[in-house]
Amino acid sequence: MQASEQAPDPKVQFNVYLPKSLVIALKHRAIDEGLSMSAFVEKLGRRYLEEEER
Amino acid sequence: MIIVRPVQYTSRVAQYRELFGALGLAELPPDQAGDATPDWTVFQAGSGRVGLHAVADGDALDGQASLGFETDELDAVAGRLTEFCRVRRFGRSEGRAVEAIAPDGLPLVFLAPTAGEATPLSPELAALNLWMTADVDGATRVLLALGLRGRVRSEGGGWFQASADGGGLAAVHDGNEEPNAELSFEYDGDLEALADRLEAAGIGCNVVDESYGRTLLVDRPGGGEPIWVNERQTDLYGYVALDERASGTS
Repeated sequence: MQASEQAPDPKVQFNVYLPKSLVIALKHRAIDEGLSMSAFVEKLGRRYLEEEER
Repeated sequence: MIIVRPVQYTSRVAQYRELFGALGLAELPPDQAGDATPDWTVFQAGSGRVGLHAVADGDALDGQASLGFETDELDAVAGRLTEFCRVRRFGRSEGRAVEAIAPDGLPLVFLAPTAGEATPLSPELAALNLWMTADVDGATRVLLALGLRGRVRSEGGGWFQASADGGGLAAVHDGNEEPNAELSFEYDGDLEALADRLEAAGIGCNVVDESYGRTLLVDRPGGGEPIWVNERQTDLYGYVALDERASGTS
């Protein structure tokens, strides 16, 4: 199947527990980058996985 | 005095009544002298009000919202907005209604205050007119000209929130070229406890983390985008407090 024909990847909720100070730091960085928390965490996760695969 | 009173249009009046009750809103008695119709109900929040307007299933307005306000100074409001909006009086309430079309084309509607009182179960809950627009600056100017007091804005320019002297909040959020209004709320209390109360009433909801704070996403009757209940901001990183009460000291 061509990529352009693939159905959109649905968004699901993902709850995790993290240190409060880390949550605050992540929220502040998301604001600095002008991203929603979802978009920011998605960016972090994708970047980490891509680097791991190299 | 101006009261923020967003209007929700729906064919699912009974479900919205249940939802509003679980949120802690209280239904005002029908305003016999004013706008009483079987299709129109006003609810009192801890701060501000919400109007519920029944429409037929499949009506183009079903599920939509509009930027609504109540004021006892309609003439003054109309005068303040003429610099920024196309303003007209219309026939509802024996001429006691004003519509102002904002620069982005979105209408704001002002009616005389609904008579009567009701005690809400959640004094922590404020009704919020959420204005989604690509023209944040233009919408902000309208709210300030109206007489609302600026409370918080984002440093990035995509968010402005203001309070009304008669209760309730209005906020501008950067959005698509096509502007729209959303019924929203702010909660100055324990968001988890509110979520528990909604779930006990059989209403689905989720608390989610956003960069500015936490938000309770409440299942909308009939489906579609959830109703947002923002926890009152305490961390103003990336935001500017515009009045003392927003600075987190109260």
